[in-house]
Amino acid sequence: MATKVILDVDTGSDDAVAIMTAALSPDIDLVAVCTVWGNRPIENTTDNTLRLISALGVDVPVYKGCDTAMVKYLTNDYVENKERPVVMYNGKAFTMHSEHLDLPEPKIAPQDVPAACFYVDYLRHAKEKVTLIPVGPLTNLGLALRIAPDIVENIEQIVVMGGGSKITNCNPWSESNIWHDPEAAQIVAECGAKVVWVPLDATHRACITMDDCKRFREIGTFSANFAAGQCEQRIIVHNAQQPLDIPDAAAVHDALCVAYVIDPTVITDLRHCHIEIGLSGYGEGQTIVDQRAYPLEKNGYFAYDADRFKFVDILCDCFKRDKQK
Amino acid sequence: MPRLCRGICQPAERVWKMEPKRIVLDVDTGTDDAIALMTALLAPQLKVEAICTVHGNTTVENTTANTLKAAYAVGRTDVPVYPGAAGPMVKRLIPSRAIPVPEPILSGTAQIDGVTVAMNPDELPLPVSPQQAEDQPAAVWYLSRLRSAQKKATIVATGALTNLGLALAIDPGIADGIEEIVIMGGGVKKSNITASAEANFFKDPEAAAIVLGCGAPITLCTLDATHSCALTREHELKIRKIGTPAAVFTANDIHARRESYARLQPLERAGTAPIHDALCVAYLLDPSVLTQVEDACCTVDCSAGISEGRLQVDTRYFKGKCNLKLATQADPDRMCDILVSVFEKAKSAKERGKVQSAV
Repeated sequence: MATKVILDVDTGSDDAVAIMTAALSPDIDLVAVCTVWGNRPIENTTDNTLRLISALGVDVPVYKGCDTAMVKYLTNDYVENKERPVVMYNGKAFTMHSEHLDLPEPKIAPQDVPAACFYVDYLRHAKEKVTLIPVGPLTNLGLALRIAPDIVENIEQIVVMGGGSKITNCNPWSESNIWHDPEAAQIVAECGAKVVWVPLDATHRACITMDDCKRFREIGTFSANFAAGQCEQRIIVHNAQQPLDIPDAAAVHDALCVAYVIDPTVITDLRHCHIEIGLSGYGEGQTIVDQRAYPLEKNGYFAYDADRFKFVDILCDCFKRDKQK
Repeated sequence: MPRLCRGICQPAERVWKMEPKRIVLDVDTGTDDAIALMTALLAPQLKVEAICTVHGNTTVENTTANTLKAAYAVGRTDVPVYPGAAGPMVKRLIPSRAIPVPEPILSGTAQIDGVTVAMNPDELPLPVSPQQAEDQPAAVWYLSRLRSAQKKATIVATGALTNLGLALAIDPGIADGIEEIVIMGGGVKKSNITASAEANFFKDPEAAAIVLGCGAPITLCTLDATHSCALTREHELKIRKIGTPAAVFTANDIHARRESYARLQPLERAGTAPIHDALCVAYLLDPSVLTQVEDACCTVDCSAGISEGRLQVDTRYFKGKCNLKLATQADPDRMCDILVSVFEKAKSAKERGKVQSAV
């Protein structure tokens, strides 16, 4: 039976690949997509999500979420995130996440209810447990858990794209999603539901190469071509700013979480451990994995490695099912 | 006859009734919350649309049960009660920011000099209400109420500000649906839970900072104001004489607080006690009860130091934009008169009702 899933996205190039994979997979019943600020402001991430859902032609409600962190900006005790420069390639400018996805105007509008309220209402009344896949800052879920901590009873698991143990990206100690809203991330970490962290350690291992993009394009469907475009854009930026072990490749972080829900064996090294989030100063947004022999209570699962070939196979299987050309 | 003329000619036939002000209470009941709540429910000038509960004086389970009891004590089981947040937005994520004080001073029951002092007992000594709390959490209710095109709401918040903080974090636009927020919180020259902070703000500084900065009109009844209008033994007796459940409950609480304050935090005027939260409702019934109010630029300290939860008033000449009306003084006799007037009018209305139903 298909797993009921709610995605929470800040679309976002890799979010786009994650949404398409979830919407097309026969193993996933995509209940709703929540949006959140992060890669871009909330107006952009919501508009991009609506455009993509419209283009896919699937019937999935979109709930607009929060436009900033729960509390981070109430004090001046935070480290500024430095914008990375635009990458010039063949005379064109590239960023990791375009402001606007290159898709037609959306045909659908977001629902009236804010994302956090949707979580509370839906999960409280859910007849079966639901898997949550938040792949942006965890603000919506953090607020929902504060309003109604009992919603964890109807959460099957939370598969988070976020964090990094040996790899970071937005500053020396933190990964972007967690850094954006550390308090929300810590609320999720200690909420009591099963939490699977898919950090940079795993997503950089499951990189997608130019050859993989060719394979997508050979499938020829809308989603395969669109995913190829997003991945190619990411490879250009990765090559210029954070080259991976394998040349001409990009991490497509968010999609790995969806692939994990479709086939858990795509994550090849998942460790049960104590995970918490740094909340202040030089440690703000850091994912701290208790490495000691006598760790604090194990409260989550941390992914250290992934099978990139299996990952691409899972994506291809989904894109092949797309009826849009 | 022209319309204008008819209006002037027949004033006596028209009983002009002002539409009651629609208010929402957000409380951590709490004896002084209970008095605020009973007064608001009994005053014909106010229509209590809903009551939200929150953690604070005791757990949210207790404050919710106590709220239902307080409403039932004045005969009301029809106002929806939305249970709110069980704890602060983020404060408890950091162990060093845990609430430091064992606080029989502020809540619970304590034996002092052989006298049982129960300023804010976990369970109010009132009959259990047959009414159930709603399923919808307070913050979610705020969002649906304030995002809809209904009339603007006046919110009286007398506990930790977590519910409004959460709702405003989800959608800051709801501030446009708020007529005014009347808050009991903070202190300028007074504090109670720590050397720097008043309890409501200290229990969720982030939520307090979000609310003070939300852009809606705010009147802040500080500890300075509530202490300045602490009620006396004479006030207690005057209220007790009315004899209704609300009046007796209020008089009992004034008594318990007078005992407690005399021993634990004696005020300038000996033998008096503040009924903090009731001042917010008294202000809505008669704004002149606040005798010192100024426009001010304020925020709340959210850092984990000795000033955590402190109301910060910008005192510079070139201060930031004023975001609230800061009340630091109030008139105790006026406060008592307001309570007496509400309780007495409710009593005589009830008696009239009895006579009418007997006829």
